[in-house]
Amino acid sequence: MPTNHSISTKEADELIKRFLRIQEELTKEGALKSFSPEVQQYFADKFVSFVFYKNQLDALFKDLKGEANAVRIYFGAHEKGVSTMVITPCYMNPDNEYEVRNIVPPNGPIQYPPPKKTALVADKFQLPLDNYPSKG
Amino acid sequence: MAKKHPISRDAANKEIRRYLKMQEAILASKYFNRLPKEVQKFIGSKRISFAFYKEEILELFAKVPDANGLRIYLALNKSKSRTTVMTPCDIIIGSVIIQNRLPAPPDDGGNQYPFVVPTRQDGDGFDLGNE
Repeated sequence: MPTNHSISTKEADELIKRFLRIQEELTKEGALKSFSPEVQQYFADKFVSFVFYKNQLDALFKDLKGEANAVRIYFGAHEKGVSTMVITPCYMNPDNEYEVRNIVPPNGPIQYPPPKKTALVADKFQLPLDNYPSKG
Repeated sequence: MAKKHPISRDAANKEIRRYLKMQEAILASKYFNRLPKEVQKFIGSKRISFAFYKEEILELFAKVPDANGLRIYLALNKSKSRTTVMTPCDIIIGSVIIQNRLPAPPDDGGNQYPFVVPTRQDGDGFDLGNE
C-alpha cells in the first residue's frame, strides 16, 4: 500500500527552516571561497523553491500509457552553476517505494527554469508568508 | 499565457550531469572537510531526486482546485537529510508573482516524500532512461 506523505504547514515550515539555516551557513563569508565559481554560484543563489504549472504536469502524463504513477524531481544545474530542477514521470512500486523506474515521455521531461528565492530568514520562515516577490 | 518549459531528454541529462559533476568536485576537494559537518552532510548527499505519487499531488490540488501551480521547496528532515515540500500556488503574470495557496485547516499542509531516491550513476554517464 502506498504510504501517505502529508504534513502540516507547521511541520513543512520546520523542514524548510532547517534547509535555510544550512544555506545561511553555506553563504557565510568565506565558507565556499575555495571552491569553483560554479559551486559558489550554485549555493550563493539562495534559491529555495521551484514553480511548475499544474497543466504542464498534467500534460507530462497525457501521452503516457501504462504504469507511470509518480513524479520524480531531480536537482539540476544550468551552465555557470545556476540551480534548476528537472521533472519526469516514473513508476514507484507501492509495496516497495525504493523501487522507482523512470518513464521518460517522448517529448522529454519538463523543467521550469526560473527558481524562486525567499527574502524570509530561516527563523521567520512561514509558507503562507512566502509569496513572490517576497517582502522578507 | 503560461510559458512552456519542455526540455529534451538530452538537455535534461546534461543539466543533471552538471549537478552531479559539481557535487563530485565538491567531494573531491581538499576543502570539503573544512566545512561544518552539517554542511558536509547536505552538499555531499547523493540524494539527488525525490518521487511523489501523482495521486498525492492531485489530492493537494483537490483542496485548492483553482490553484494553477505547484511550488517545490528544498528542505531538510530531522536527521538533516535532504527532502522536499510541495504546496499548491498561484502563478500570476508569467511567474512574476507567486502566491502560495495553503489549504485551510484541518486539511492544511504541504506534501512531503521522506524517502528520497539515490542514484548510482556518475556525472559522466548519467541518463534519465537508465534510472
